[in-house]
Amino acid sequence: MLLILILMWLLLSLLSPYFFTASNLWEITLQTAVIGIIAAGQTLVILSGGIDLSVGSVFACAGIAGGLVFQATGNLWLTLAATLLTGAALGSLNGLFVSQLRVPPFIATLGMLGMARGLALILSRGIPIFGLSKEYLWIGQGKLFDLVPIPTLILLGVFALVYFIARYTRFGRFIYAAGSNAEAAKLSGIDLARVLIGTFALSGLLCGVAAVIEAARLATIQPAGGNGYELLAIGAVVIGGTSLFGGEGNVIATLIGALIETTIRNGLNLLGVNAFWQYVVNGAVIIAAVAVDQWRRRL
Amino acid sequence: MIGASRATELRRGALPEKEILFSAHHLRNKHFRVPLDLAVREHEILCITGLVGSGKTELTRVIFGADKKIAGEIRFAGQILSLRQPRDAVHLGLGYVPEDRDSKGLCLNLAVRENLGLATLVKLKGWLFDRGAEHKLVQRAVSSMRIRMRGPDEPVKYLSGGNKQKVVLGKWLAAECKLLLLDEPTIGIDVGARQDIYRLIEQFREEPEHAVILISSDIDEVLEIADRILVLADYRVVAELDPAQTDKHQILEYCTRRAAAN
Repeated sequence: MLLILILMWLLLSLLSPYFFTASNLWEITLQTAVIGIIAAGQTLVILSGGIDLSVGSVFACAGIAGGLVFQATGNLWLTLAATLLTGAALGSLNGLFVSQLRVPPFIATLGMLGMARGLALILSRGIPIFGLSKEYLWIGQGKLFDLVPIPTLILLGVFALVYFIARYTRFGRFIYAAGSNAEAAKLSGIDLARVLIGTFALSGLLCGVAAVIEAARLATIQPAGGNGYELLAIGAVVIGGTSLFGGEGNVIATLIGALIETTIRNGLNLLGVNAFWQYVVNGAVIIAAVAVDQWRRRL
Repeated sequence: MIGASRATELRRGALPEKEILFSAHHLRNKHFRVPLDLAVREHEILCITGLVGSGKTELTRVIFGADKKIAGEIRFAGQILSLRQPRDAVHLGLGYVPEDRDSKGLCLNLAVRENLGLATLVKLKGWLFDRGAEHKLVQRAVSSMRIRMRGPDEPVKYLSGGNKQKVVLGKWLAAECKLLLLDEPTIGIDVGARQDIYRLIEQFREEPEHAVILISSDIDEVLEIADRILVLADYRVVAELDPAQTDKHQILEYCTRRAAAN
């Protein structure tokens, strides 16, 4: 998939003089941050054999929870903690539904999608939150050395962490085993409940991180935010090459997948194509990516 | 298809009387309505045989914690074990080679190294895992078990049946388990791999505080390898036999007899 990304970049740099500029490329990484971070968490969930449809709603709810704490305290650290903890808590609930109540992940997270969205709207009374502090906004709009956007750094940091978890920890190995064959994993002594709760909690936590970045970039927290993000996140995972059945795939591939999605958006914008075509192209790329992957398996 | 030379390697008659290493008292669950007792001595290979549906697989599953038990006490080396989940059993030193290796014993798309190291990884503590240690574990397992494959990173689904079974068995040997539960371990396996597996099981049981419970519906195999035989019928033990003093005909008769009130 890296090849596809490079080809797309080559093509777009030929089609538009604005594409291959430093500022546009940094812009692409910046725009990838929010979805990419959500997709990193989603990768682990999918690798473990599950799926998380609630990420968009958890993202919004975590953001609103943090925003309310900010309105009440004005304290940046408390706000960040509230956002991340809300995300992790909602994610853990998903994990509990799946492991203890034995509800299939699709259904459990579908339910959470509704519940978290509703909660976000209730807590915020449907009103977006404004008035975030300068320190907060720096997270989304600041640049290191006046060059590297902070969200890009956070994106890279998150992927480094998730990559490390998947490849160098026992937890990561158990995730792959659970996704490959849950029964065999269980009979080998793996605590499936812990794996499930862990992956869903982490997914929720990362939704919180993404919510912080989005709030900092837009200077507002919308209770209706994150709509449709689950499709983009899952799309990034799938385009990257991870199998939806679990047990196969890798984390860095998701970063490539997320970059491909952003490149599509960015490229179509620069070419002046009607914005609605982005949906069409994104959907087509998802299908094409999986088709290519299926064909590659047969070789 | 068991060679005569192997029979002389068995030290069956020469085993000293040992204390009971593992026992289950009054085991009851939804399958076993009549309480069941079972005991295994140190260094012993206890074979459990019976017809299809007699409860052999269910017995090993309940011992391993894969099925719930309603009542019953399980002891290992004198201590009462709390075994509610397979992971309890694994941490307490049990290992289980299931009847269907593809669907229950292996993560097929994962590599040989990943499957071999899985139970060991479960028993370790801490977050990180040591790739160097895993590599050594795999080298040792592959050479001592004669696993034939293209390399440790080959997905296990490409191995032959016999080699796959060696990976399942190797997973438990590497994890240093003490009581091995094997359910039809040599079904669908070529003669060479069968011999290797018997050899490995016999090496295993000679270690201190080790024992084996082996389920087999192949009565010839049972007579060759067992130190003691339990016959199950209708989820009850209907006979306990000394392989030196019984024969195929008698075993079969017990298998097919309806369990009389004991």
